[in-house]
Amino acid sequence: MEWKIVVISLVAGLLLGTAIGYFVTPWIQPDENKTDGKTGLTGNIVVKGSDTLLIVAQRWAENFSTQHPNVRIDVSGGGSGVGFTALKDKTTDICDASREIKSSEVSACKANGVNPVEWVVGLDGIAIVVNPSNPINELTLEQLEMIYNGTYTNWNQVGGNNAPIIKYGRQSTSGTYAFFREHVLHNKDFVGVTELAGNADIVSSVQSDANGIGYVGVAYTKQGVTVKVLSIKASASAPAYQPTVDAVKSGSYSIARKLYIYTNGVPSGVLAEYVAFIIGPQGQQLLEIEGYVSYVKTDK
Amino acid sequence: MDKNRVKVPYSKLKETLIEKALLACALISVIVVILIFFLLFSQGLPTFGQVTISDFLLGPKWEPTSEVRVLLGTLPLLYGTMIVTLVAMAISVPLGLIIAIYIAEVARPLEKELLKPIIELLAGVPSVIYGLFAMVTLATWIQQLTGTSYRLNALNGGVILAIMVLPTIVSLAEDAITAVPREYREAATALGASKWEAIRSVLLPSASSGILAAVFLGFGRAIGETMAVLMATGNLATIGSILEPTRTMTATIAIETPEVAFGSLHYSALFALATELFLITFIFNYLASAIGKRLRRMGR
Repeated sequence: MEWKIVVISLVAGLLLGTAIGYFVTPWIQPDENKTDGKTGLTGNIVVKGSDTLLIVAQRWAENFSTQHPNVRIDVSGGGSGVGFTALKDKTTDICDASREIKSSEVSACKANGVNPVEWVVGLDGIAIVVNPSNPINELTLEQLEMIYNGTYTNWNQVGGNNAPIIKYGRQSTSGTYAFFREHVLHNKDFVGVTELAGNADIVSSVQSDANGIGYVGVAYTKQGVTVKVLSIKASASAPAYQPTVDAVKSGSYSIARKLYIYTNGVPSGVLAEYVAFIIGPQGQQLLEIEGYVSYVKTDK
Repeated sequence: MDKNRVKVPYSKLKETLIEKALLACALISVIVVILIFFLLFSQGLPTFGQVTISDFLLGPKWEPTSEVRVLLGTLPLLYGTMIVTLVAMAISVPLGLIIAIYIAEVARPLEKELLKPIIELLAGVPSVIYGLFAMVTLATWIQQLTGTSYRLNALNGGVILAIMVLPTIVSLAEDAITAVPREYREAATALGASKWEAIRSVLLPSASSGILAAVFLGFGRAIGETMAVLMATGNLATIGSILEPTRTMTATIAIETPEVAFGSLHYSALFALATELFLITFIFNYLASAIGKRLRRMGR
């Protein structure tokens, strides 16, 4: 008989706990986008999308929340594609994107009553990384294209060792994937690329693979990683550039792109303050500390 | 007398109610399975308005987000699932059987007390931890052992799956062997068989339906595993050798679902893929129970 009592009390406890959680939670969370003039901003902001922007998105969130302790910001990645779907489904306030929104995504959003508004928040160089033991120091854009579309399969075809080229890349949810395919492969498909979930995975794979090559947002080559960043030449006769802040800003580094955030309509309240923070001097300074390049827009 | 007459119809009602309640619970599980199948099937059906069934099932390229030409051939994914599962089975079935026989027949009680819980512990480890181990450590070992150029490959996925499936096979096979009646063993010894002869010619055949159930259950677990293979196999949707990256059906669904727009072709294709996976598992389980029934009827 005792075990019956145990089972019943366990089930009852579970139901009670769920009920308490369900009813009490709205009380302990601040209301969305309500401005409290006395104690500062309060609110809940959800940010989803680009893995490339993830590091800096987290910095922005940490910094803003430290200044406004009553604002809670949830940041997650998944890739630019995931961010756009979330924006359309209204499950996120801000979509981080390392590529521009596609016209099909705009129509899908509009069909769902969402009006995507674009904000340019920075510039990013895409670093091409190889293992430190690789003798190659630079590649032309064309060589890079031939590598990733499967034409070149051996390092000795680009002046390196006689070894197969092991290519690492992102998955199709990634804005970096889409950007690379559009601008380096000219919209042709990737061939023979091992698809990893994030920038950090690519870096760690190339670190441990002597014949590896990968493409990552330049911020991921900073914090204490041991990979070699190749210099890129726009053509065989052009000078080679590293993805430094100046090279990206001036356009000399060939594989550079804008970084965006998208909101549903022009934001107001706490969300507007946050977007202003991101594109303002504080947010842009944080961006540059992470290795990206500032691009401050004056028009909305 | 009056008391008895009143009691009988009441307890009969209670009995019937309890029976019906248990039947309802059993039916719920059947209904859920049917509902899942219909959901997958109905959401996946629109795919075949734009792709023929043979192209879908046998097409050699899976490029759902291509800007060049969208190809929805699931053959490389089916291949990926199959090769990883077969490698896992090839390792874990013989190994699991040997361990099961050891635990059931040879181990001293102290060893048994130690071995069984440790193997059960293996079953409790979350699959993502196995994935992490495979991605970081196992891949390096395999690469050093085989000299392959690719760190993340089908063998890596197969080996980690074997480790995950091993506890299932050992557990069930060991139960099946221990369940063989003592009389069989005694009869074998009485007829002059040595321990190994008895195991080989009497115990294993009699336990065969249980061992088969163990193998099929392990197979089902291996086919359905998502997280570990997603991290271990490199996610390259192509048909290559065992030492090259591959991608399973489960990993494809896990990776691509977050980015698909509801109702798009890609979305339907993923559901069609899920239906294919579901059907394979279903047919397989059916075969397993049918063969098991057959064996049991033969007295094994």
